[in-house]
Amino acid sequence: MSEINQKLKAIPEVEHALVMTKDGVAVDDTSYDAEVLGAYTQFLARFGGKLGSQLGVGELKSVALHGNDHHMFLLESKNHYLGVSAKGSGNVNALDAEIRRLLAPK
Amino acid sequence: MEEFLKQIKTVPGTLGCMVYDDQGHLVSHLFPSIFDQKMLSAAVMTVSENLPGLRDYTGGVRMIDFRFQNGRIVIKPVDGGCLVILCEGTVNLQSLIISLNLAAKQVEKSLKTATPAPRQAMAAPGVPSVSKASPQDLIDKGPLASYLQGMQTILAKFMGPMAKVIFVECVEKWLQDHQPAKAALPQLADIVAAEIGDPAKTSDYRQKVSTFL
Repeated sequence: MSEINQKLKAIPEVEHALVMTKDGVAVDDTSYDAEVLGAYTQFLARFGGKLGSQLGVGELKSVALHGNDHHMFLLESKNHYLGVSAKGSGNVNALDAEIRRLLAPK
Repeated sequence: MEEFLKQIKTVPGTLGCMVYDDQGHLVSHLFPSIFDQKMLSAAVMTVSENLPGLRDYTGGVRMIDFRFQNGRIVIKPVDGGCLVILCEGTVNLQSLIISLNLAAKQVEKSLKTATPAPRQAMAAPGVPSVSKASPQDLIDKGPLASYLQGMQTILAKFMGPMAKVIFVECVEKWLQDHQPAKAALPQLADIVAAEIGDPAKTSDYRQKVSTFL
């Protein structure tokens, strides 16, 4: 389990967290869950990237998706994406804030 | 429908919003004229094509908040369609969510009743064939082409290369309430003048196009 995954698992609603390169290679995680989350993170990044370029708002920085069963979060860095899945029972905005808080440099 | 979109747009930091139906057709929008129809339709297509791809993993999308370098796009699926809202990065998302939740039910009702209307209108008998022409066709080869092209050329002196896009939108807006007749050209001039914004330029534009009215 990656360090980021361990860190974010401190949030009870977080199911999985995955760091992946922008060309889709998962970092330090070869599990099936990581493969699935990686695929959807990549999909979400492409979706947002295309939409952003069509409406002229620049590069995608992050995504918070409120789902019925599972929420998804995406954060972007220069070369990587962080994809996070969380239980749908959690408050999506509170989770978004908590993920950012845990990842913020101290 | 426009009324509900106006409610959403009252949230500070909201730049534009649109709604499309479950067929992926843009039903209504309140975007500044710099976002032309083609641009909005392309965005609608992207959202309507990609949204179903997230259904399996999430159990159905209730909302997506995309944050970009220069803004934010919020997507809110509703029964029978979807709302797409473009905001500044500084928008208060909670305020927007409250407005969206209030508007969503109304939009759903409106989609159920309003969506078939344009199709019926298109098929309605007795409408002069010229009113079915697209704004661009009307400008290029309609009976008022010389007047419209003249008005567009004058607009280009005030707005540069964007004039063509803006003028087509103005004609489109004009055709919603008027038949394409010479007698209604002053109303078109009003719509175009409103797009110029600057009072001095507006007055100058009105004076220059008066020869066509």
